[in-house]
Amino acid sequence: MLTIADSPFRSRLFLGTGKFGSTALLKEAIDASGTEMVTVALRRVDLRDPEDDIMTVVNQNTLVFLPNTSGARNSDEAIRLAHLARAVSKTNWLKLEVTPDPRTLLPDPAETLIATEKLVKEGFIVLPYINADPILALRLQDVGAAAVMPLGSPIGTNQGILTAFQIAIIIEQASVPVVVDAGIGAPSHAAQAMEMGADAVLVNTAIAVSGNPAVMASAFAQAVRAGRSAYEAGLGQKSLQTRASSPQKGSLSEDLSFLDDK
Amino acid sequence: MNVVINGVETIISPGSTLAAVLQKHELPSSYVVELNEKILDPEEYETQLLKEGDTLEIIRFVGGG
Repeated sequence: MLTIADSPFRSRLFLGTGKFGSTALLKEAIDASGTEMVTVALRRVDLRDPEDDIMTVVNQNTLVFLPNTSGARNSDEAIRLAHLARAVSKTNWLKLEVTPDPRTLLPDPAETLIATEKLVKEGFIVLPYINADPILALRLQDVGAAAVMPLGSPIGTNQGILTAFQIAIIIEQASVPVVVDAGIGAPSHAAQAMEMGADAVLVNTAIAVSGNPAVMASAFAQAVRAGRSAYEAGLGQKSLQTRASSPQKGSLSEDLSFLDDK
Repeated sequence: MNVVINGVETIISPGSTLAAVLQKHELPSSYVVELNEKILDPEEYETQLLKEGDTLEIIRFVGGG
């Protein structure tokens, strides 16, 4: 079973809660996904136009809340958001995101490392969102990150695991859990990450904007389980040399002598 | 007197407590209040007096990835 910061997770699918058409659709997707960890964001209350209250459908008794610091452009802003998140959630879990460039939403590695180190010292359980950089992953692990969250491709792009080579190195080297985050656009992408040995995946856009979020959430849950099972069973080695799957002995007749093992 | 609430210049009665200002708005089931970048404990809302130029941020959880 997956364990992050001493908390066990039976489901290896983490769910982002943004972009859902309604809180009702979000609730259905949470239930269908079987997830035990959901991310949430912090924003100002809209005082002129009260919105749906996400907290009415996201049960903090049964789900681990992972507030993110989305919107933070540097470590100071991320730390401020972390304090606000802790004040609302009453937990220390934090998905650390520092994205200075709104065009790419790529994470700033230097600011992320600085913020992780400070927040860990304050008792936060920090899961930093990072580019798929194996050296950075080790640096974050060294300063106490509870897991690392390398991106498959940039946020919201649905491009899949474009960083497979680097993620494979991160998985090989890391002693903390590796949660592939961002860019996972289809269940096959999630399965791929899990087959590679990722400990979990975080999916949001692909489920939220699908034609049927609950069904898509279920599809992702199945893909994550399938990918994990395949990893645990052990995939065959890739080879450039063909090897027949069918027996080479016992051909049916002389006429079929070409079937003989040469 | 003027305070800034969530980025909007707002006129409130002099001597208002934070609790009195919060009561004027429809707020979600959970939120946090920052006064001049300092997070307040909910127990302080009743006694916290606001002064000219104060900046309030009322923050909540929303859906996010």
